[in-house]
Amino acid sequence: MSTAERYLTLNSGDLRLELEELYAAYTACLDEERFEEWPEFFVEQCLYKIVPRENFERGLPLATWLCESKGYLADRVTAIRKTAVYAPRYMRRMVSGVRVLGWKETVLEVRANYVALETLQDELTRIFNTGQYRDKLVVEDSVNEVHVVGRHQTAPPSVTRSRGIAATETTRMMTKYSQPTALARMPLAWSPMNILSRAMSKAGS
Amino acid sequence: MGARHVWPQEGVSRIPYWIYSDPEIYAQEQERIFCGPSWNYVALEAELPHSGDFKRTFIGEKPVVVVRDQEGSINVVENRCAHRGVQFCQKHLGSAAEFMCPYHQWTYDLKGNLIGVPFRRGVKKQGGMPADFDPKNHGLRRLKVARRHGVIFASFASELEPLEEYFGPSMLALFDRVFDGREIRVLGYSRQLTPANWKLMFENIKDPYHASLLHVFLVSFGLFRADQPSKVQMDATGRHGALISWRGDQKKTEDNADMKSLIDNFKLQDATLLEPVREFPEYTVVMTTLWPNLIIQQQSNTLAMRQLITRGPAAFELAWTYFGYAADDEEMTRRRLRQANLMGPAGFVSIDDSEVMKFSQSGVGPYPQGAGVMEMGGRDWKDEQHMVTESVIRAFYAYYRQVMEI
Repeated sequence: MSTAERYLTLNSGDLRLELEELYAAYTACLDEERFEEWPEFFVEQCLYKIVPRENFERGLPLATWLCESKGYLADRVTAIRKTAVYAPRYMRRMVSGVRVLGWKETVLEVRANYVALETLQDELTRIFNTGQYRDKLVVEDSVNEVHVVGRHQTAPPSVTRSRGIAATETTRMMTKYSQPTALARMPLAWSPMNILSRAMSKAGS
Repeated sequence: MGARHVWPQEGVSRIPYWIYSDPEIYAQEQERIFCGPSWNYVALEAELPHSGDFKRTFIGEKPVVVVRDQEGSINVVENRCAHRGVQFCQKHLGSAAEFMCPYHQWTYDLKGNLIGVPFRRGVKKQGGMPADFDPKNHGLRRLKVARRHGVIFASFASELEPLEEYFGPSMLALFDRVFDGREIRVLGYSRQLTPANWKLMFENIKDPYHASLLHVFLVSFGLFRADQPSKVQMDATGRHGALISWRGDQKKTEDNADMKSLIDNFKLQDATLLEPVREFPEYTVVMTTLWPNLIIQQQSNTLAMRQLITRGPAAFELAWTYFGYAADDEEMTRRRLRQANLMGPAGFVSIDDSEVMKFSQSGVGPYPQGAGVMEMGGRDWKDEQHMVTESVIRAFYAYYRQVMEI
């Protein structure tokens, strides 16, 4: 039996363990700032996109971050190490709710939730970002590992260390920020509420 | 502002730090600048292609709704119910036949006219509005609207010059360079919240001095650098400005020896980012700042509106709308999307700016009596054929001081 077949015939408990191990290794690599190892979680022809939820929902193509090859992931790391200016901080990422939606040949389609926490100097730890991993993981025969092939997240990146947040709908729910009074005016949530019970609105007019 | 705050006697070559943190100054800015005689960017027409399409946005900190009505006209109304002030529209973009406030269901047509008041005549002959209540007097407040080549501006002021005059000939030419009447296609949105005063964002895009020093990425790849042919331009009032540059090579020379940040032989493994095509005449980079809330970004093939939304004295939101043209082929769209990695909340370049703006705020906030030194390239302001200058920032503050009377 090939490695790939072995993976795909694993019972769900074993597969879940494998996936949890993968995500734990992935987040540990980033939390511990071993960024140079990060591209190794991807295959050569990978697609890594971080998409704000509003673009995702409207089918708009703009990504907050787009990498179309493993080489690009390495460039991202070089840029963070050598060119970007940012304040020191610690990040910690939590992944939960890992689900396998299905697979086609040797590609698993996996969803998971993530929360990235950020601790800056002089500030309490806050939620940096939250979103969903929408991963395609390929089971490679030659290597006894699961590699991430394509990654679609629904919100800004945890590795980019951008201080200003891409305020997707989820990040807008942040209540703790360095300027709480200024941000008290921020909308905390949104919902479609424009045209409801029209008949009622006409009553008496 | 009286005795409490006095602008340094040196004039605009000094920027007092109290303007970045004082709540009174912030309140005055809302009134005099954002609600004053200024044209504020609110939307692209491409975001509202059909009747009923609306966009929820802000002018300064004030919520407004931009909507295309049944006749195809664009209306901008306050996002505030005329009854009790509820911000009735909570969706970024959508489509509606009318607007209804959820609280007491007062309903407005797409021009902002009040068309429905529940129980206006009472229930079982009890209650109801007074007999002389006239819905005509209780519509949503409408703003003045100006459109040019697919871009929508609005103003709270009832009297102000036409948009074209407001831009002035040099800024109008730069505006028309990108918005030449071709149909626009929106590629997506980014939103960024930065804990800094809104003026720091404007200063940043009026400051070519920093770009050659802070932005190692831009510098190393010759995307924007002091030794390249470049210029700064302003309108006659100084309120609008543009940084203009031609792309150069990636190499170390005598002229760029001061740029400690230049990394020679820095190579990308995946260079697709750096394959722009010549699209616009003459310049490769034009960053235009239009008073009081818009930055038009044209860096190679990446185009975006950056709309400034104030969130109190010490925070602002930057709403980026990336776009291309409806006639772009797939290759051009891909190019624009790739180059978008330069900008935005996580961009190779913009990351540095957000961080530094936060550092600025945390330095100037606690020292309101301090002042910034703004003498690079002189102490006055005028157009220059280079980027080793803070002229455009001085121009901005020359106009700012007039409007604020400080």
